Amino acid sequence: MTGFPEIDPNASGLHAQWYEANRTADSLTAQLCECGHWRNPARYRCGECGGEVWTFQSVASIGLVESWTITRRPLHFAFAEVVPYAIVVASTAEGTRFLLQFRGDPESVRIGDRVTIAVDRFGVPFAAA
Amino acid sequence: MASTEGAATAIVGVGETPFHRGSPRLPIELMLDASLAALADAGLDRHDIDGICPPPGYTSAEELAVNLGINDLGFSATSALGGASSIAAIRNASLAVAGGAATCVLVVVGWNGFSWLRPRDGVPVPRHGLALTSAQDVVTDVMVPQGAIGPPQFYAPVANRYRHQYGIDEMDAAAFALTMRRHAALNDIALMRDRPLTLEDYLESPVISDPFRLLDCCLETDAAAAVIVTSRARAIDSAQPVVSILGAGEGRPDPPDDVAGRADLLRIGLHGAARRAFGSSGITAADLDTVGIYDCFTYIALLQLEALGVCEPGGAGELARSGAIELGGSLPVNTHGGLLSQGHMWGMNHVVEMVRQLRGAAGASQVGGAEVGAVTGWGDFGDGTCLVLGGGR
Repeated sequence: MTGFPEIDPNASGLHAQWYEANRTADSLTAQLCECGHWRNPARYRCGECGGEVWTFQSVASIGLVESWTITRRPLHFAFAEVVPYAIVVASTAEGTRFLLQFRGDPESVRIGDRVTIAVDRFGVPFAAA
Repeated sequence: MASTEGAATAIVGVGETPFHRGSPRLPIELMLDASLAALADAGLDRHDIDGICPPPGYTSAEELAVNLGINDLGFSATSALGGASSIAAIRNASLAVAGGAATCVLVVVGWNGFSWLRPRDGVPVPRHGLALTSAQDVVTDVMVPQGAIGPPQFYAPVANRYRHQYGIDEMDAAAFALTMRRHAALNDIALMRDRPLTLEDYLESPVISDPFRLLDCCLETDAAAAVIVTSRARAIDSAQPVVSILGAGEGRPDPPDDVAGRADLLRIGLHGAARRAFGSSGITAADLDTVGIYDCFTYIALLQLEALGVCEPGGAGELARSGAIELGGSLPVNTHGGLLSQGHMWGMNHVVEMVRQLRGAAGASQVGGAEVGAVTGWGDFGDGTCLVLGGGR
């Protein structure tokens, strides 16, 4: 496979703020409510306390693979050159969970693996072995 | 079986179009065809309709009403649960009739699920497509940059977690897919009626996104289907055997707008939907004679059998391999061939088939003595619905 395409997510609203926070921190962030509850994707209010006072804070850069898939037929031309590629669901120590492209040998991914998490120049997070 | 006498509402008419892979007709035209077929099936006049539940997209209550000549529409409602919307809409219709907001409600869905991905000369493009909600924002902003573009990728981590946790494997999925294909062979309008499937075919089909092979995925289809909901009292006087609505429910996973964020990937909307549907029906999964499962993907269908409660968690693979879900088995599933082999009509085709089963009018696919059945829906990121129906007076 060739390098995973770096895609400007061109997101809106809270999602755009999240990518900006990732880019600024140069690491994966999630919303941390003043009540101490973490959440992802970004939302207007906290599902635990109902509050709207929160900040984006960096989460652990190590994730645990909860599940995965390897896409072998491209569903979009932008990914036609990179199949097969793996996508993982990874949890971090904060209890947050993320969908992350896996930059590495897709066939190596297993549930229970530890992966390192970083972000690219657009603030898009990704996992690696 | 449980008595149907306590039920307030019934499905009095069903209709569907042929299933196409490339229809020259617009979704609205297909929906009008299906609506008129349902009216004819019910023996009702279009002026009997005073409520419409349109699908989330493609059309509106206004467009349907004016084209059907319904000039005194008093109720409309649309639910946005993706493929689970069909049963959610039937539930809304039933609640409206039971609550006095309407007397006779048309519930219709239709789409160009094949043609919208394959534009070509001579095929009209609808002005309005599927209505998008904030769930699409998560797809566009959060999932697509990760390379997750479509449903096979959204649900694949659920399926792989399911395989990991319970040892479900491709032979289990194959058993479900092959059963659907055998059922479709008995269905004159099934897209795959004349396309028998072997285990070798299944195992040789390409992997789209692990664990989903091409033959684990349902069929992109152009079609429409409709049902008419009215009071049980009125249904008893209608042209068809009564099929009562014994219970209905909807449910959502937590959170509903994102798959990866769930603490338990295997906790799906159907868990809540089935609890609500059975809770209001007075019957249990053990009472079911036949079942319709929203089989968008084989593994997801197996997971739904468990959430419905017809077997223990992790038991659906064995259930499929045992032949129990086959016509002639102890609990035939999707006797029309399902989304996998009849075609993808948002699961309304499953409701149409269940009504025919409970009328005793399912022809070569008839389950002997079928009196109680349940149909499930699945949509968006695992929203679930469940409809429990009973035949007989």
